[in-house]
Amino acid sequence: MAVFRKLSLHAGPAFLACCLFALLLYGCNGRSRQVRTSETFLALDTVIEITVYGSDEGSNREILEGAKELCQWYEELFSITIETSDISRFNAAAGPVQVDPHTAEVVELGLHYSEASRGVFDITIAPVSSLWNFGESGAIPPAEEIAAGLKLVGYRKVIAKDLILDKQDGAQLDLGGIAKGYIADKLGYYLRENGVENALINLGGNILALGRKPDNTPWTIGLEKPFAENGDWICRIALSEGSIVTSGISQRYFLQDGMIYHHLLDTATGYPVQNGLYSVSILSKTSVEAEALSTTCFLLGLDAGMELVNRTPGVEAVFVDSSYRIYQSENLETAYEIQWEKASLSD
Amino acid sequence: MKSNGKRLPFQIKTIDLVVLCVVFALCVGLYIFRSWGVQEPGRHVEIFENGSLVYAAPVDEDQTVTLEGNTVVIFQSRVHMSRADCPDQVCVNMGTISRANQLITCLPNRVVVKLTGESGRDGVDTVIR
Repeated sequence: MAVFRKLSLHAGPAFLACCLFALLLYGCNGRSRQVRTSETFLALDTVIEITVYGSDEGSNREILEGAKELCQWYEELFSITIETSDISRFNAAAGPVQVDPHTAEVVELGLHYSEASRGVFDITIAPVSSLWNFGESGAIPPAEEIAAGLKLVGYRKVIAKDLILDKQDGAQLDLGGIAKGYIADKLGYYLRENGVENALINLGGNILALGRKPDNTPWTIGLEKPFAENGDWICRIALSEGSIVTSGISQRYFLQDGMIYHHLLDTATGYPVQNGLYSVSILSKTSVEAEALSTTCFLLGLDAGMELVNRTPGVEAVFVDSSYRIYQSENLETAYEIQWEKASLSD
Repeated sequence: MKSNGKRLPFQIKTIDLVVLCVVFALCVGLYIFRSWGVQEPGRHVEIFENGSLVYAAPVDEDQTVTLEGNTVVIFQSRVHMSRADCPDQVCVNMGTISRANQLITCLPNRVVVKLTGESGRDGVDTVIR
């Protein structure tokens, strides 16, 4: 075989070169060989998805199991429906209540954002929010009950000091607008502590990204079109390291007399705000900031909300109104890579 | 000038180049094939009730899955909740899902319907509304 005889003279170096090349390719691909493990479960009155990349399935599962337990632990502290939670105990008590350091921390953060928004966002909305039931069977509560509930609302009525929560005038807490963001951030710390560098947490609309995907591409977040029946999205956002949270009316609402009654309540009137917005999505470093700001900006409305975003460093936003018009913050597209889904937008 | 020490210790012949090119092409081909395989696996429908997996099958298998309080319809690679006995009907109103990492949830009945799979080039890793 003449070919092989000719080849054998120089096959050595050629073979070596090929091997090196193959190794190089394998090396490039090798990083994405990390095992992806995903877990979906229900807790905190919402659906939670956590995806982690790690060296093997077994340790990924173990870490995810710990994350699940952490969610349940926080739920037992913050829930407004679990009677033994710190928050329920505070709401039922007439005076001071000692709480877990984490409860104290989240309440302090909540009071901070309530103060910063001058009460537009208010974690003491509980006496009013508990009157509303936003399902298809929902109904408008009697006006006098709303008026009576409103008298108890006011973040200045709650004082947090040294793990003691105190109150005036029967104030009650509802951490609905901040707890998920706080917990998402804590889950992020927990995953990092356990050596996870690439993870994606979705706490029912509170998203926190840790790093990027192992192939060094960012996570892609689909921002769904509100009320769309076929899962169309408005845009896809490339997210590496950071949070995005959406506050919108399309998840918890009921219809009555052609009006959408949703869970984002005006702290001045006790009724859902009607300002022509469908959703506000906030991008920020921490999920607690993103969540507090998404609620605040929704309640402020388009002009004041966008103004707040534009003067807050490191925060960007996408607002969607009821005609599916999109409004974006000044530096959104310099800070993030966004693919707009033109087909889903109406002009 | 004579380049004494700079001559290669062997001469490259056409046949070497051919072998190199073939192996090179094979490597690239294999790499693309592997990347392809990672990005585009078949999508599966997974249904969880109370945290336990009660149904898992490729999305292109048409099926109507009847649970205690819900009915999930998988038809032409699209999935929707056709019935829920809960008062809020959020899951029924959620409509149809067809892409990887989309979810339908019925919180009152603790049912989660999930389309699994890698996001791929035009997909997403997670969805928010």
